[in-house]
Parts: sequence; structure tokens; C-alpha cells
Amino acid sequence: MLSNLEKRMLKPFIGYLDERDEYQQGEIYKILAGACMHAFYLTTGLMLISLIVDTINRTFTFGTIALFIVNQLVSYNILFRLRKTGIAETEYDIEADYKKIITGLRKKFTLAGIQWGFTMLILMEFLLPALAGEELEIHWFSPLIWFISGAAFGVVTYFFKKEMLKK
Amino acid sequence: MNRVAEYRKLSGLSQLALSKEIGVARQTVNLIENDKYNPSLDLCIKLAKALDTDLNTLFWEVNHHAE
Repeated sequence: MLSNLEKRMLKPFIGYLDERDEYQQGEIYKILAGACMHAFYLTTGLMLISLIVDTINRTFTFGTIALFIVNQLVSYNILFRLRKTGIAETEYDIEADYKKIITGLRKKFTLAGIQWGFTMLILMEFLLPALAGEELEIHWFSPLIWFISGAAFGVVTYFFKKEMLKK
Repeated sequence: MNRVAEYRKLSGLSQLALSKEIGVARQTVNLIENDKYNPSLDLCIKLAKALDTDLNTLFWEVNHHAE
């Protein structure tokens, strides 16, 4: 459900005059959901580009911080409302089905953790220092830090996803 | 295929007149008649009342070959 503020914002945002019926409202929500997803991925891309440009110029601009904050706010808003309404939850009445899904999730988030750790290792230890024109100094503990971070990322996202599955 | 269009014509209503009676846009009535939009139960009841019939008559799929 839209909040009162959102209801008031919707009319001028879309630009209709009188009330919309249920079909039209449904279509408006679909369009807005699609636009929100596109905007989120676009701002994420722009944030990365802005971070790369900042790194090259050895600075940290307001744009990068603002894009990061906007993305975080949008993410938490969506996550909070999804959890509140329970829309993302899936219920299982058969134990075997639940266990099968959990096993699949473990594999999926193990891979996600490895991928995240590896990506961050390349990005933070090689790519960004190279773009900043710094000398590459690889310490023995760098891969270890990113391995632990990747494991933490995988475990946290796994438990977050697991919470959405109910027996 | 539902029977909204058939009963609307029997009632002598245009799509616009029916849409005004049930409080939706004419396009929505057109989409319902052409099975391109599944209306909510609330809207189905409004349609049935406006066309002076019931939900089964309007929306229940009947196998005519079996009749």
C-alpha cells in the first residue's frame, strides 16, 4: 500500500487528472516498478563510474557519496517494506522440498561469496590502485582479508534469504 | 471467453455507459470483454449488478458441447 505522501505524489508525478480505476492503477504500478529498477541499476552504474573517475583524480566527490546514499536508501526502503508485508516469503509444507531449497541456497551463496571476494580483491587491490597511478603492492594478507569478507558476505546473504523461507 | 459483451448488448448499454455505471474507464471494460484483463472480485460484482445478472453467468466457463 502506498503511504499518504506517496498517494499525493503519484497524481502529479504520473500526470492524470481524475481517479484511475483498478486496471489503470495496476498498470501505473507496473510502469513505476520497472522504472525504479532501471533507475536503481543506472545509479549503481553511475556510482561505479563516478568512483573510478574519483580514483583517477585522487579525490572523493559529493556525487559518488550522494549516489551511494541514494542507492542505500532505495535498497533499505524496498527490503524493509518487503519484509514488513511478507511478500517475498515462500512457505513449504513438505520438509524434503524445504531441505532441497536450503541445499541449493548454500551452494548459490557459497559461489556468491567467492565471486564477491574475488571481485573486491581485483577491484580494491589491482584495478583502483592502478587507475590512481599507485604502485601495486600485494601483501600476503590481502587475499585473506577479501576471502574472509567474501565468506561473511555469503553467510549474511544466505541467512537473509533463508529467513524468507518458512516451513 | 466471458459473456460481459453479450450481456452489455442485451442491456442496451454502450461500453462507455457501462464503464460510467461501474466507475472504471471505457478501455478497462473493453479489456475485460476481450479477456485481456482479469478484474477483481469487487469489479466483477459491480459488473454483474450493472448487467442485472450473476457472476457465474458472466464469468463461468461452460462447455457448450457437453450441454
